[in-house]
Amino acid sequence: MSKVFFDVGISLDGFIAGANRGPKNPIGDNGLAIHDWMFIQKSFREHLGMEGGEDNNQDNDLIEEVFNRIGANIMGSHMFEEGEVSWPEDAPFHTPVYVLTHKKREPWKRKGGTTFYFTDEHIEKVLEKAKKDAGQKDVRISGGADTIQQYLNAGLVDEFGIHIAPLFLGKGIKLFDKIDKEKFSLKVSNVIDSSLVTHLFYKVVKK
Amino acid sequence: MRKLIFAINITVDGFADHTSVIADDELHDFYTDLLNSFDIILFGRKTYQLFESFWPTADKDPQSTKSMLRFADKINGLHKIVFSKTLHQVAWNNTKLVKDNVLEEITRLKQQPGKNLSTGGISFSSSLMKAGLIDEFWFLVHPIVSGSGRRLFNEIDIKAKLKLLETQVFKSGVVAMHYLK
Repeated sequence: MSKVFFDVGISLDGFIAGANRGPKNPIGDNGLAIHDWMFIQKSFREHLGMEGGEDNNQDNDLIEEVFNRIGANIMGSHMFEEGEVSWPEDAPFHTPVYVLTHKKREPWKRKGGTTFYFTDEHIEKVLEKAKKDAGQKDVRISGGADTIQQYLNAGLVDEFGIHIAPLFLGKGIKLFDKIDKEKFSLKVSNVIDSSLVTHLFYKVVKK
Repeated sequence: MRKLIFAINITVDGFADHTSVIADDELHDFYTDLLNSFDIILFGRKTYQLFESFWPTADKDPQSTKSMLRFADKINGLHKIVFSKTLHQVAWNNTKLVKDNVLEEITRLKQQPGKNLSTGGISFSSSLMKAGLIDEFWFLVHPIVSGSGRRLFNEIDIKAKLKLLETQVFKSGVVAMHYLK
């Protein structure tokens, strides 16, 4: 059974991105530092078409596992606009990607199996389509924070992973904001620590 | 030199008021062990008043568990300093009230020989974080979303990158993360 999940890096003070984010300043001020642990891993670099990197460690394996389970992605328009100008032609998804936006646009096919579909349908409808595309694989709510919150509050997320980087951003976009706590509770499913980051995995239990 | 260690319970979504989380026996045992490495606890007014209203008389409360009583015994015996301009007196034993020059006083304490110093709470610890006085952090992340309340981190401006020392997972699903500045 296909699962719906999100998997994001955050700062210790809970930010998914720094202040002043936008296409010219991806992930906001100092936001890239949240993902420092990822940039040095071989599996992550491979997905962005870069050489080198470390392997043979749990951080690297984890990235690989997450990539491998994804059959379709859903993202918000801000995330897409930031990525559109910086992802390589072989965009790092290799699945259908549904972009939630009111701007009408034809599907955008990239090298390597990524196709972006632009839709203003209800989030639940979009998820149905993504699930169909994903088949046995899982659907990732890629981000940003607002899209993740919408799916969480709609009770549509089964589980999630957060990767807590050992730094503070002070300002920016909180991952967990406007959360409706009446909708669900959480159960820890796994905790993996490395010297660079703490990986926490939770199951979302509907109330 | 003594280190100042900050420990706090926090929800997955970043709220840290004392009403957001409930500590079970395992957590009280954890905190009792942690207290063994300190010889003074530093309080801001709010956390102090909350603690003072319960721990000195915890042994009179029929709902107190053995773990809570061990914690009570430990914290009641430790030296405590509360920093507040508005408090006039303190009733908890071994407690001293300091009204002014908070940062200077803490800097002086850190230079003295002895075991480490402990602190907690939101407002008070934020000012110590900003002043760069905290050396180690324990964040105990509870598997709950609170949705509202007081956030632990409100626009704190610390450029330092921390080093993760260890992670501990409790039966309740609480994950304790220990960082060094």
